[in-house]
Amino acid sequence: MKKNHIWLFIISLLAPVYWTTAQELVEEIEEVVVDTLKKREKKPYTIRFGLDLSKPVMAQLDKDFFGLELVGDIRLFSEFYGAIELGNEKKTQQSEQINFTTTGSYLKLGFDYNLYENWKGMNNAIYLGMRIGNSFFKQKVNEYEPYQINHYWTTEIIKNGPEIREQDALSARWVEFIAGIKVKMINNLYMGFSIRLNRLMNDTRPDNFDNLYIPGFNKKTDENVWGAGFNYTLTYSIPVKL
Amino acid sequence: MTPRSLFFLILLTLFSCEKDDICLEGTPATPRMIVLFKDYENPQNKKGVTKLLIRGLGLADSLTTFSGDSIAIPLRNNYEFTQYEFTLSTSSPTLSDSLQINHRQFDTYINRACGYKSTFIFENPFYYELTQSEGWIKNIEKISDTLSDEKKSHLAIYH
Repeated sequence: MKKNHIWLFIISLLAPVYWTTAQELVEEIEEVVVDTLKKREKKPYTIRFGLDLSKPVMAQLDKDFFGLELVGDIRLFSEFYGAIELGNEKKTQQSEQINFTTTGSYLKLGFDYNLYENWKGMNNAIYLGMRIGNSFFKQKVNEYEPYQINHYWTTEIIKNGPEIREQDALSARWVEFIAGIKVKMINNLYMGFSIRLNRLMNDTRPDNFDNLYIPGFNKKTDENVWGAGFNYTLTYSIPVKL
Repeated sequence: MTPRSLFFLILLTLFSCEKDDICLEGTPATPRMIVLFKDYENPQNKKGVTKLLIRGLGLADSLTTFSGDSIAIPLRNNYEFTQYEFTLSTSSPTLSDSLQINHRQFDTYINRACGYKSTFIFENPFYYELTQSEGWIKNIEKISDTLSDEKKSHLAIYH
């Protein structure tokens, strides 16, 4: 089941990449005609794709976490990049009184704007960006300790009962504000780091529970609609010269 | 705003503290059972007890030695009953009654820090008298079926 999901992500990431390369070939031919008139130096189109390294590392350190995030971006025009992140997570955690497991997938679509002025031929970036995030997931309550002020009787942990259950078909939507860097390591390999401020727009909550964790959005607090995240990416770029 | 300062601003928000990890005092918790002590001869009137020793059966320590006309007694979570021994230590010989309160529960989600709280419902019958001999308790009535908060009384003991 888990493997199927991983393959689904890899395939779904590759599909748009091949599709865009084909599209650019068409654009390439059109641009040649335009260039003879404008005599303007065009930067090469680049497609970058790769994965978030932090999630496999965290999965190694924490046996209650599994995560995979595939990332990709493409230069659309001047310093604007279209960007995508696809991920899958399974996380079991103890949140104060409740132990629960969140399983789900997410898709983030948006753009990055590069503020870094590259030398000719370089393609590093210090960027700001935005994403629309979508997550589809399920929440399972494993056990909990009812809130009691008096502890005369030994405190019981509820492991069976009507609230110990899994609720699926849950979803969440949010907006991300991103700041990050991308640096070329060797050849076409890039390392990237980004931090993200997330603003939750809406989420469907499980019955008699809450979305304490949302895949992609991360920890959701009671007090406000803001969350945070980061990723540490390794990407491979394919330059498309025009 | 320069990109660098924005970067650090976002970094700051990442490591800021969160309030909602502490369950705030005053949040309604799992309610205790409020017991009223009433006069058997005049059921309308309250009749206080003096030095009533309350102890959960199977526990070494007593809950309290109580004087007054109403008390909050914790029920046992995750169990279908709670057993208590009520010993009137002022009488001689000391009179003792053991009761089993039968209940079921459902749990309601409050928030992240507090988790769930339980609400108890009295089963039918709602109690068993565990002691055979004559005690000090003459009659027991339930005042409400559901124990959802500690604002009103749930059980009346006539003596």
